[in-house]
Amino acid sequence: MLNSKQIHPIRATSVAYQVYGTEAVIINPAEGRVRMLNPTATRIWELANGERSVDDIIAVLTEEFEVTFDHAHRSVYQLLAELSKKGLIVWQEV
Amino acid sequence: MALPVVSLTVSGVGAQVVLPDATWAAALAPLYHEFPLSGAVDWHVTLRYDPALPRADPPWIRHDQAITRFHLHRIAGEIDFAAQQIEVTSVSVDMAASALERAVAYGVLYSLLRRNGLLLHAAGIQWQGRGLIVAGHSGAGKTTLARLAVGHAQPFNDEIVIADLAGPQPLLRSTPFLGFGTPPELQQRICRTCPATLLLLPAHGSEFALQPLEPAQAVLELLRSNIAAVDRPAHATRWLELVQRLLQQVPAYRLVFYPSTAVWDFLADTLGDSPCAS
Repeated sequence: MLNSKQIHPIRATSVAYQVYGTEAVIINPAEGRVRMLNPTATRIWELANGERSVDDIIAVLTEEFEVTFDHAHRSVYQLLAELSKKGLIVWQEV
Repeated sequence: MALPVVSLTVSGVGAQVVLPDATWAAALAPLYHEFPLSGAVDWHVTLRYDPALPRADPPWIRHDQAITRFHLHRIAGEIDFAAQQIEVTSVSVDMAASALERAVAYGVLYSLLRRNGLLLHAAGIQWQGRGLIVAGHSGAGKTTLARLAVGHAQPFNDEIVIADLAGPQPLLRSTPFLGFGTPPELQQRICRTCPATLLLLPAHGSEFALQPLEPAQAVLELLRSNIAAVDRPAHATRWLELVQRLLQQVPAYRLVFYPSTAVWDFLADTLGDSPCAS
């Protein structure tokens, strides 16, 4: 079974995005959908570049947003699960 | 015998259109005399005649690799991005300009993405030295504002304009592309350019108000009426980059207004003498 250090989330190449200030606008041309992320979600989105594990992302969030590990853990897993379900991120094993 | 052609250039993108016969050439050529071909032909367009073409219900656009096919009302077409060729069908010579303009606008849209330009579903108005890009979904107030500009400002168009971002100053360029609902007083195909200084997202209301918009919010608003521009990941990525560049130089506002020419006094009072609000 994989642990959170072995799986790295990465933004799907089938979507386009741009960060405007602290908010990301994401376009998924295949489904004709546009989404906007809040600042915390935008930071998680930016960090999901395939080079960081979920634990790495949680660590960055804990530091940058001055939140507890539990809080960051919940936020990251919840968002990544949502984005994964919508096909906006994929998982890569390391 | 060679078929007649009409050629045009819009913001540096050239198109040559092969027509069914001389009747069509006589009807179309005068419409684009302010947009003569001035360089290379980027898009080779064939306009076909088919009086039996059914009405699309609902209208659709489909993408398959480098080909986009569409059927909008009684206009159908196919765009081959790899070959830079377009075929479009019209049911009559009366509908020919609409058919041609829908098709060529797609071509110009994609060519401009590579040349630092954005073809936008928006009205363009030159007012007191300012270039106003008035974008929004159908019914938001683009055409109403463009109509209110007649006699007070220079409306370029109520349907499609270009934000040219190739130089240090963004430029607002007119296009010859009219909408299905463009009113008679705005049915002009004039070639004009001015600095682009404001992006206005109009909304009908019972008072006048000008509210700054955050860039991400402005992008979402622009996307509501420009979704066809982001049909492929590469196009979407480029479109978002160019919109970011536009919004770094041109502030975006929500303009709440009711249909009165007093809107121009309101804007003059609110914006003052600065070329753009900041």
